[in-house]
Amino acid sequence: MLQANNTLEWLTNELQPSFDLIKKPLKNNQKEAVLLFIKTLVDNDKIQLMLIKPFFEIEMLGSFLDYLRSLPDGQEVTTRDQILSELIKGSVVVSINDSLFMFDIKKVNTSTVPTTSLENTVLGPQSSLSEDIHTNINLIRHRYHQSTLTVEMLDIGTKSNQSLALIYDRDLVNINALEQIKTKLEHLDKPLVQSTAELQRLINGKKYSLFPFMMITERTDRIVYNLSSGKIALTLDGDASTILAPAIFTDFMSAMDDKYHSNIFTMFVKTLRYIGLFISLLLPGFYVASTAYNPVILHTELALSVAGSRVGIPYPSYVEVTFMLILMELLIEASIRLPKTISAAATTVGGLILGTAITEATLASNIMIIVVSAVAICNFSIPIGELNSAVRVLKYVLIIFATTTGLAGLTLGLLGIVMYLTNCESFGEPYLKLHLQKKLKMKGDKL
Amino acid sequence: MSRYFYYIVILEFVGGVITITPSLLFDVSKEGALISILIALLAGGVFIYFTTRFFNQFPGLGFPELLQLHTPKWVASPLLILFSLVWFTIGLKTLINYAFLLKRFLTPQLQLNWIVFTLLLFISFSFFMQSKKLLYTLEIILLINLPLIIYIIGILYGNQGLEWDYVQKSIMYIYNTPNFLAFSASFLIFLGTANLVIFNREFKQKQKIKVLSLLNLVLLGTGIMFTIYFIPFGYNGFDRIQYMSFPWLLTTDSIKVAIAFLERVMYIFLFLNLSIAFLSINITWHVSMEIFKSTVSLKELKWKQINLGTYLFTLLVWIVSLLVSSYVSESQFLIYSSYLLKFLPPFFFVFLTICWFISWRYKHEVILKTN
Repeated sequence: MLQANNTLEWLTNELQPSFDLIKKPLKNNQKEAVLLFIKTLVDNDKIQLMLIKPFFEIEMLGSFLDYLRSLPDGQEVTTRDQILSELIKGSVVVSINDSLFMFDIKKVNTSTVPTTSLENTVLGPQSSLSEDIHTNINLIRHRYHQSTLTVEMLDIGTKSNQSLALIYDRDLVNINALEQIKTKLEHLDKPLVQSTAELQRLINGKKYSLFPFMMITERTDRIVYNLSSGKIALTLDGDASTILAPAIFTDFMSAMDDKYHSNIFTMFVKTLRYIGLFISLLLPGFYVASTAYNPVILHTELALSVAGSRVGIPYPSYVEVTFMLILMELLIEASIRLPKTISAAATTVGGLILGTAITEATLASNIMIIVVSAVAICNFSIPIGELNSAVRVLKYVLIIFATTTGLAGLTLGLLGIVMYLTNCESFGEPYLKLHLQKKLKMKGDKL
Repeated sequence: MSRYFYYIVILEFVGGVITITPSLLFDVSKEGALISILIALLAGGVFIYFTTRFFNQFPGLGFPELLQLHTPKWVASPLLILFSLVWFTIGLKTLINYAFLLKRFLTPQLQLNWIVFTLLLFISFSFFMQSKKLLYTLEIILLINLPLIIYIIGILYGNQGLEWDYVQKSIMYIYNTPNFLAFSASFLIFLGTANLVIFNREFKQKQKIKVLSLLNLVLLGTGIMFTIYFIPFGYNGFDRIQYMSFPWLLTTDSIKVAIAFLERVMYIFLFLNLSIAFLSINITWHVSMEIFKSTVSLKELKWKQINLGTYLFTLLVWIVSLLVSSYVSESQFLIYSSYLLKFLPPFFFVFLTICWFISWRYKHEVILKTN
C-alpha cells in the first residue's frame, strides 16, 4: 500500500515547475481531501460534478469513500510511476484519509468523427475515425459485437508514451502474425512515434520496400471486415488512421464499395481497376518500346499517326515520356501541397495550358499527352494510396527496361514484378497468390 | 494431384511450341514423324503415370533425398550431379533458343549477348526464391496468359486461311518407320512431370493421380501435339515447310486481325511465348539448382548462414550462358540440341529404373521392419 501523503509530495515534486499542475485541498467538517491533476488535461466540469460537489453534499466520511469506490471511472492504483504516467495522460488523483484514488477524467478535443476523405465510397458508411483512441475503439466495438474481440493497450515511443491499441478477434486471429507484430512492437525503441504511417514503416521490417505490407485505412467498415477475417488492427492515439496487418496485394486492389454494389457491377469495376493498374504500369513503356524499337507491332494507321505526330520533336521517345511524366508528377505533388483554393488554378495551368503549349512547341507529341493523362487517370483508379504510389514509381523502372531492351524488356519487367510480389510475404502470408482453395476444396490442393 | 502439378505439366506442353520440336518434326514429315508423335504420346502417358505414382509414395520428399537415403554416397553424388547437369542443359537450350527467336523477330537491333543478359537478370531472381513461391508465380503468370492462349488458338482454328487439304496430305505419311529424333522431340513436352524431382518437396499431403485426370493430361498433350504438328501445314503448305527456321512464328505471322488492338498475331504469340519460355527456364534451372545444392559437398559451403551454393550456381549460369550464346551459331545450336534430345529418352528411362529401384528398396525395408 502506498503512503498517500508521501506519494502526493513525490508527484508534486516530479511535476512541480509546471503552471497547470493543480493541488487543491478540500475541507468540509471533519473531512479533508486533496485533489491533484493537470488542469489542461482534465475535464474541469466533470471534476466539479463528480468529485467536488459530492464532497460537500455527503456528510459522512465513510459514505463518501463508498461513493468514490463506486465511480465507474476509477482506476487501480499500483505504483508511483503508474500514477505519474496516468496523471500526465489526464487522470485525477484524490488523497483522502490516507488512501489514494485515481479517476480517468481526461478531456479530449480530438474526438469528433469526420467524414471519410481518403477512401470515399458511394454507398456505405460515410464517417471515418477520430484522432482519439477511445472514440476509435468505441466506433470499432459498435460495429463488431463479439465477446471475443480483444483490445490490448500498449505504450510506444520512449518519450511520447503514446497509447497504442492492438485489436483482434482472439478466435479468428492469425496467431503467427500476432506474435510477429508483438515482438516487433516490443523491440521498437524510438523516442517519438507520431502517426500510424510512421509506425507502419517502423515495424514492417523492410528498409527499402516499395510495396505496402500493411494497410492504412480510415474506414471503420474496412477495419471490422478485416477483423472478422482474422487480421489485426493497430490504432495509435492521435491519428485518425488504423493499420491493418497482414495485408496482401489483392487487399489493396479492393474498395469497400465492392461489398455494397451488385455482383456484376463489382466485377466490372474490379476489372476496370486491374486494367487501370496495367495501363498505368505498362503504357509509358509500351509507347517508348513501340516508337523506338517496334513500330510494326501497331496497326499501320496508328504507327503512321504516332510517327506523324512525332515529326519535329527533337528528343528520342524515352526523353519525351520521362519529361512529360515528371511534369505530371510535379503537378500531382503541387496540388497535394497547395491550399485547396489555389490547387484548382495549378491544375488548370498545368493540365490545360501546359499540355496545349507543349504540343504546339513540338516538345511532345499529341499522342504523348494522351498517354500521360491516361496514365495519371488510371493510376488513381487504384483504391489504396500506398499501392498507388508504388505503381507511380514502378512505371519508371519499366520505362528503363523498355528503353534498353524494347518490348522484350517490358514484358520481362512485368514478369519480374510478378515474381518479386509472389516472393514477398506480409507477416507470413504470401503477398501475391491465387486463393482457390476456399472455393474448390480440392483434395490435397493445399501448398 | 495438387493443381500446381498440372501447371508444371501444362507449362511444358505449351512451351513445346517454341522449342525446336516443330522444326525437327517438319524435317522428317515425309518419313514417319506422325507415327513417332503417336508413340511419343503413348510413352509420355506412361512416363507421367510412373513418375507421379513413384513420387506419390513419398509425399514431401524430393528425388535427391530419396536417392541419398537408398543408395550409397558414391552412387548418389555423381548421379545427382548428372541430373543437375541435364536439367541445366535443358534450361540452357530453352534460353538460347528463345534468345535467337527474340533477336530474329522482336529486337533485331540488340546484340544476342545483351538479350541473354536481360533474360538472365530476371531469371537469376528466381534462384533466390523458394520452390513454393515459384509455383505461385507460375500460377499467376499462366493466369495472365490464359486469355492470350485462348485468343491465339481461337484465331488459328477459326481462320479462313487454314487449308485442311495440306493437313490431310500430311496424314498420308503415317505408314512409315518411326524416327528416333522425332520421337525424342515430341517426348520433350512430357518432361514437365519430371520436375517433380524437386517440386515433390512442396506437395506434403498424400497425393493421388486419378486415371481420369491422367487421361485428360494425355488428351491435352495430344491436342497440343497435333496443333503443333498440323496447324503449320494448314497455313504454310506441306511440301517445303522444312526449310523454315521458325515455322510456328511464320505460321502466326500469316494471320492479321484487323479489329484487334495488336493486329499481327505474331506479336501476341511472341509475348505469350516470352512468358512461357521464361517460366520454363525458371522452373528447369530451379530444379537444377536444388539438385546441385543437395549434393553432399555443397552443404558445408556456408558463410554467415547463407548457403553459397545459390550464388555459385548463379555465377556458373551467367558464365556458361554468356559464353555459349556468344560462340554458338544457330545451325550449331540445332545440331547440339538434337544430340541433347536424343540423349533424353534413354536418360529418363534410366531415371524411371532408379525410381523403380528406390521404391523396391523402400518396400523391401518396410517388409524387413514388419518382420
